[in-house]
Amino acid sequence: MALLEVQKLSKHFGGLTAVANNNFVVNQGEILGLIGPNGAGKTTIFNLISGFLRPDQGTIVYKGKEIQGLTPHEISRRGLMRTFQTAQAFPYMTTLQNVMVGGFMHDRNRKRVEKSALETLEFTGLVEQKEKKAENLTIGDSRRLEIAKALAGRPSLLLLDEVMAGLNETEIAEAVELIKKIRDRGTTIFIVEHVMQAIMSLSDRIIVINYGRQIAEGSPEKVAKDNRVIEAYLGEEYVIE
Amino acid sequence: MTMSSPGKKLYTVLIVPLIIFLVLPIFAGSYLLHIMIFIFFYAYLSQCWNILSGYTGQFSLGHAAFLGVGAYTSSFLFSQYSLTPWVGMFIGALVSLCVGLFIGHICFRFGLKGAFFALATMAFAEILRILFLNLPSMGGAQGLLLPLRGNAPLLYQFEGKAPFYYIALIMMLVSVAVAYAIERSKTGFYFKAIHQNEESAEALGVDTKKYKVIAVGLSAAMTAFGGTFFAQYFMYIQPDNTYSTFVSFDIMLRSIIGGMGTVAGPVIGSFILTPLAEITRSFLGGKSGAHLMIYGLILMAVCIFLPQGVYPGIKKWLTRFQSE
Ligand SMILES: Nc1ncnc2c1ncn2[C@@H]1O[C@H](COP(=O)(O)OP(=O)(O)O)[C@@H](O)[C@H]1O
Ligand SMILES: [Mg+2]
Repeated sequence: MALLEVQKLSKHFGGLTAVANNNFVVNQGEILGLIGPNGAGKTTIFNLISGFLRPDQGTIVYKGKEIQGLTPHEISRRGLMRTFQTAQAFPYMTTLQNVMVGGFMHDRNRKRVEKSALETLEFTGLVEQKEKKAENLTIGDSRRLEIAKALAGRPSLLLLDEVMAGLNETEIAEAVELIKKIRDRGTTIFIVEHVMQAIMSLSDRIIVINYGRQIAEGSPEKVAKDNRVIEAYLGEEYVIE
Repeated sequence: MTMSSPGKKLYTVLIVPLIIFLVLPIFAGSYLLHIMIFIFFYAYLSQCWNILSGYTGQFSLGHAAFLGVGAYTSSFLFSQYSLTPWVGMFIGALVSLCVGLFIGHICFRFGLKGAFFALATMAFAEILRILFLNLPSMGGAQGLLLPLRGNAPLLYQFEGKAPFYYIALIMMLVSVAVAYAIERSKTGFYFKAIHQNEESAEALGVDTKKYKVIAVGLSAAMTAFGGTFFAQYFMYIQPDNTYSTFVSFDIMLRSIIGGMGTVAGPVIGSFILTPLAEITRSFLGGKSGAHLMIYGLILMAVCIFLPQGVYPGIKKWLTRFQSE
């Protein structure tokens, strides 16, 4: 069943075509990967879906309703939430308070929100950092916090934008485990990632874009063998294994 | 969260000055009372400003507008229709609320941020000042002289300063309680989230525009009560001592020096700044602008030594001291 359906989605910045006539669905319960070289338009697609940018053309249907044109907070409140490529915490709040902001979406009661925020911190492995100011977290922990904040809003669909950038091997493995756990709790995941072995092992399906156009789609194995994909990635620092 | 022991300690520490404040009028002379009234009064106004600018980070340079609207509404209703300012001040707050919601809506709808919002609020206060200077029905440049009724508590008029002292004290305490309640609520979390990262707040379901407009409205309505107090204390208002940009500076500087976005900041700031300002004013005359030089010097010192304000600075210093 399609949780999100994108049709004829396009976005231009001046003369630059960032997203060109994209069509795809995100199915309930899956982990869908979105890859492509730097500047391919991945973040722009997330910005369009989450309401931070307005599409020039196309429709975005979430849970059977068109959502293009809604504001970001309206979209979040419907259960479609996102993280940012550059972690965007509230720097002078503690880790716990950061997560509580997300928790207030469904509840006004501070005690209850704090309690469930603590559970979210436990789930994401941040509970020891709960009193630390967000500005003082390590890169690894600030990436976790980016996810934890969104989880506090109990999303049905979570868009993850390069949450593994800058992490070391162990941290990447932990992030992969965390994302699997999130999916197993019932959250559908749409993920952009540059760390290839991670996205290949996580995704049920992968969409590949280049210069805003979809160039391939399918299982990780199929996409990895696709000639257009290999070509698109020539000259990039990493290779598809 | 359970009450931590430093929290309990804080309450016991606060009881002592509170008792002193309550009994002070029995011993204090008129001049000391006058200064205390101004300390409470500016702590109140600055707390109102802090709720908007300190917490949400939307910097208002025009809070004089809300003070003026409050002062003029209650004073006009009293001098024209003999309506007691006790009722007039609520009407003033309502008018100011509408004005605040209007300004907030206009500014945030067009996405004014940072310096642009600050300048828009300043321009708005200036427009009101010039408008009232040219409104004969509001007294024009001469201002409004409130009809004297002697000792008339029901008309917000008293002989002596003690009643004003207690009113100002209550206003300050109420504003502190409001800020404290906000800080611990969902609204307070949202205000701070908007201040620290607006995009991220939106992504977490915060209607950032709505909460910013709420903050302006609340702050505006509360500030208006200060306007009525000002009018009743002096029994005379004019555009230049209500709508003036200097009044706006007077209001915000207490929070900036004491610590923006903290409950204690405006109060501490007022205790530092107000006595100095009042003393220079009374020794060197109000027109000389000498008190502004004092502000400048203190502001420079705070910027250099305690850039986040006195209260956060002291708190940091204390925690470091304790952990050693
Ligand atoms: N707000 C914007 N204004 C102008 N150009 C933009 C904007 N956002 C992205 N772009 C451009 O659109 C293209 C796609 O960017 P982006 O979606 O961030 O790529 P990716 O996330 O795949 O690396 C890039 O060429 C980028 O410079
Ligand atoms: Mg990107």
